[in-house]
This record gives sequence, C-alpha cells and structure tokens, in this order.
Amino acid sequence: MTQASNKTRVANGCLEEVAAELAKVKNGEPALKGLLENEPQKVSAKNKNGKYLYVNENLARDYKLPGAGIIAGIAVALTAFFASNVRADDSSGPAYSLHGFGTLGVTHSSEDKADYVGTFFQPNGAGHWRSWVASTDSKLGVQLDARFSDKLSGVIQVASQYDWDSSYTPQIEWANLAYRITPDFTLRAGRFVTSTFLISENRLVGYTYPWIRPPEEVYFTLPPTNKDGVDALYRFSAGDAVDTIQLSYGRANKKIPGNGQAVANHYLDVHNTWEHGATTVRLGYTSMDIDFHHPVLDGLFDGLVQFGNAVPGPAGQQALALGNGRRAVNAPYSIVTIGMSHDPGDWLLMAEWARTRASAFVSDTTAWYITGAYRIGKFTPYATVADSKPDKLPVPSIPTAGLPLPAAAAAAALNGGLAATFNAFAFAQHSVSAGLRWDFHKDVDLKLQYQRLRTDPGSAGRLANVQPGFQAGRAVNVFSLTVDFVF
Amino acid sequence: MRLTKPLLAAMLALSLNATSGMAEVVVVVSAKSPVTALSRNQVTDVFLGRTNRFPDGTQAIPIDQSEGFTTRDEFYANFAGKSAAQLKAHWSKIIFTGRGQPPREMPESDIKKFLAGNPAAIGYIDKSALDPTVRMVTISP
Repeated sequence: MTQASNKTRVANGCLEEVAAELAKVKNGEPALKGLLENEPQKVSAKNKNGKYLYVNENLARDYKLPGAGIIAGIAVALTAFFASNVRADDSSGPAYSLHGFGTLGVTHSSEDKADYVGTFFQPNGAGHWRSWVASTDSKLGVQLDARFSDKLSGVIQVASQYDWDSSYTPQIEWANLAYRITPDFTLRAGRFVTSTFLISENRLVGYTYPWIRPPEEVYFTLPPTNKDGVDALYRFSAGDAVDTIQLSYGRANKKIPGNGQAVANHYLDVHNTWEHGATTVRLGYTSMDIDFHHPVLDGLFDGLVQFGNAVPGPAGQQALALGNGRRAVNAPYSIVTIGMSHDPGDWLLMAEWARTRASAFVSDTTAWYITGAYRIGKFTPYATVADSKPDKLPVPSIPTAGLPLPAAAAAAALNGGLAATFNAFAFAQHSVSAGLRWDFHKDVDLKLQYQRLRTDPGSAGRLANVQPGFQAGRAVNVFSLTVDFVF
Repeated sequence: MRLTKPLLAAMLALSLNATSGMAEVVVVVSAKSPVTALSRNQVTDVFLGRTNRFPDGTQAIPIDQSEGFTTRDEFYANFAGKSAAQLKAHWSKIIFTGRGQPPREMPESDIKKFLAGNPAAIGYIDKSALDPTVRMVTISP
C-alpha cells in the first residue's frame, strides 16, 4: 500500500504552511475585516452601511490573469453605483437586489483510511480525518445583482465553503458584467461559472436540486469552479421549444491541497440547451490546457530529469522522456457531455454522461449518473446510480535491469512515484444512493442521503486523504444530512 | 373506524365546497395587446424566464401575483406543474447563476391596472375578475 501512502502526500502535503496561512487570516477581525484586509485571495466587498464596495488591492495585484482587470473594473463599477446611490431605469424591476443561499450539513463515512469530500479541492473530509464532518457540504453565499439599464447588468457573488487550505475563506464566485445586445443575445465579461453540466452553475445552491450534492463521479471530472473570460449566449425559439447556445472562453486558476495549483488556459466551452416544456437536453464540449503543479508531482518529474541527466543508457533516456513528457504542463483536457432532465412536476428524471480526454498522467474517463425522484407533497424521495470508469493508462517505468545498485534504488523509488501518480489519477468509482428531500418550510429544505460506493482495485476513486492501509474495492457507506436555504 | 352518515355527508359537502371554491385561473393581457392565443408551453416559458418574447417576436413582460396568493399557486400548478417550493428552486437556480430575476410581483388587485397600461405585459387572474380593460388569452393545449 505504498502507492496509497504516496497518494496521500500528493493530495495532502505541507500542512504546516496551511496552518500558518490560516493563522494569518484568523488574526484579523472576523468576517468583514478579515475579508477586506487579510484576504490573500483578492476580494471585493460591500462595507457596513452598504454604500460602496471595497476592492482589495490584491485583487488587481495578485491576478496575473487577463480577466483580472475586468473583474476589478466590475467591482469598481458596482462601487460607483452604490456610492452614488443612483437608481437605474426602473421600468421592469428594482435596480439592484441582494440574495443569499446556504447549506448546513453533516457527513459520515464508514471508511477510516480515506476521506469522503464535497469538492475536488477539499483536503480532508469524512472518514479518516473525522468520523462526522460538517465541512463537505456546509456553505454560505451572498449575491448582489445590479441593473444599470435595460441592457447592462452586473452580478457579484461571494461564497464560502471548505477549501484547499482547510479554511472557509470567502471567494469571489461570480463577478461579471452582462450586456444584452438584443433580448435574445447577451455578452458577458468577467468571472462566471460555465455550464459544463446541467447544474454546474448552481452547484453551490443545494436548494435548487434534489440531492445533497451533485454526483461526484460526473461532477469531479471538471474541477475548476469558475472562469475569467468572456461568453456569449444566444437564445431562440424553435417551434414550441427554446434553444440556447452558449460559447465561452477564458482562463481559470485554482489552488489545490498541499500548496499545489491548477491553471486552465484556453478554457473553451460550447453548449447547446434545448428546453421543451418539462424536458431539457444539453450537449456540451469543454476543452482547456492544464498546468498542474504540486510539490510532490514536480519533485517526481524533476527527479526523473535529474536521473536521466546522471544515468546514461536506455534507463536515463526513458527517465528524461518521462520527466519532460508526462508533466501536466499545457496538458490538453477535454470533456464531451450529454445531459437530460425531465421534470413534469410529480416526478423527476435526470441523467448525464461525460467522456473526458486527458493527457500527461491522467487517465481518460467515462462517467455517468441517472437520478429518479418522485414527489409526494413536501417529500421527494430520490435514488441515483453513478459510475466513473477510467481507461487506465499503462504505468510507465524506468528499466532497472543492469543498473548499478545506487541507480537501481533511485529508479525503483521513481517507479514507485510514477505508479502512485498514475493510479491516483485514474478515478474508478461506482455508487448507489438513496435520499429524501423534505420541503418543510418556506425557502428551506432538509435532506437525508445514504450513498454506498465502491472503488476499483488499485484506485481510491474520488476519495481523498488516502492513508496507508486503504483497501480499494471495499464498499464505503456515506450518510449525510443537510439543511439548504435561500433568501 | 366506521364513518357515520352525517359525518360522510359533512365531508362530501366540504369537498364539494372546496371544488366549487377553486378559482379558475385565466391568462390575461392588455386589451391593447396583439396577443390572442398561446400554447401552455409558451405561457410557461414566459413565466419561468425561458424567453422574454411572445411567439410574434414582441417583448413579453410577465407579472406575478404576490407570494402566498392561491391564484398564483394554482397558476403554477396548472401550467408548469410546479409547487411553490419547486418554483422557488427554479428561480433560485436562475438568480444564483446571474441569469435573471423572477417576474415583478404585485397583488391581484393591481395586476389589471398594470396590464391595462402595458401592452407588453402578461398576467393571470381569477376568471371572475375579468373585465374589458384586459383580455383573456386562449390557451391551446
């Protein structure tokens, strides 16, 4: 199980640094001041009397992204809007509105050698770290919408959830300006979430969907949460149906546990959504070039290059080829998606299918789920079957035959690292879930969910924080309870 | 438990009352609007924010009754098959993806007044409240 323990370090290293950063954030005043001044992540926020928005200097400085200027510009525009307290054209609705959403929940997992997590970026979760956690699903978000005119509007959403650095530091989830060229044609610029899957855009708002969380088998295939860029949306009537075409392009940047970073360049999304009455069908294509850096992975590939430079012959050549060729630098990644939902009122059927094409050390994956739900008054029982199946890449290795002893030992260590890495990025998981949503109060629901999942031998599936002794292939029972609300 | 005859009769009377008390909801536009007939899907698309145009391409401004009004709940149950909670979930999805805001809400009593002055507006009222300032839209299945 050395492979599993290596994966642990891949997924979850450098805890001291995370702790130091956490302390830094906690030293400030709670909530607002921390958000405004200590926030290492770039934040803009409204001040106490709600008259203007504060723009953290880091917002502009830290971002070396093309979208940064735009996002800062949007924040400034909204600042000016609220500072002057000008009401925009009021012909169809208020000039601005404030909304919020949240989830409070607990999760338990029966697997004590790995953690069940709520997002790809959570460093730990239910199972090994703690038997019961509130971190997988608990979250809070607020959103400010501003209408400047019939054509121009802006939105800022700040959301807090358990993230890569074990903190709930609020992040800007949405910050964009939308310009409606015609009632059917809208351009947006800034930060937004792309609709790769049926509920990608609203995945933080538990109140909007039946489950406790979208099935990770499908939704973890596209970890970046939002993108900075531009998009165009065109909507037209096709007989009795409405069709929406969406095209977006930009860049995404996300920290990952253990001081890693994933950057998605040339991040393109094309989607077509067809809605006819209660039926929705969505086809999509997403592609990007990923730079995936993590101290452990970089160490492995640097080690391969060093080995290749030091050792002559086929072993060295192979190490050089792997060290230079299998890094996730500008690594193409794409997804083709098909999704459908049918929601006539009393019952609901949803299904999505995704096929990923990966590169470097990541295996291609086919993932899907089917959910059925039936509504009985305020109660909605539901069931889901979900699957993630990789076309597992063969694990490459350095030939060790004939190497002198020190070189052979180094090659064996590097081969172990390669195997751990290639195994960790082949996500094989199957699960069955059953749950109940209860709309017990206006704008509030309560959900209970039981999920039984199994990973394939040699894979930890979508579990994280994998420990030595983890046995792949055993059934894992996950229980969750959440309360979702909107306001 | 055996039900006595008077109790049965009382229950029957109550259920009949409930049925006859159910308002018939009709879709209405301004008397000046060119819109005369719409399909159920077309009405639903306008009120659920899927389109902001009538089939002829002119602008459509949906007007909702305020939350809690029975006419509102009946309208969404009949046309969209959605309960108040499902409707809230639907709009939460649109709001939190920055895609728009739900229709403007007003009490039933203000809707006819608003419609009369706004040819692009569309609303729904109890059939008993119909008068010449607004026109009932024929709904094709």
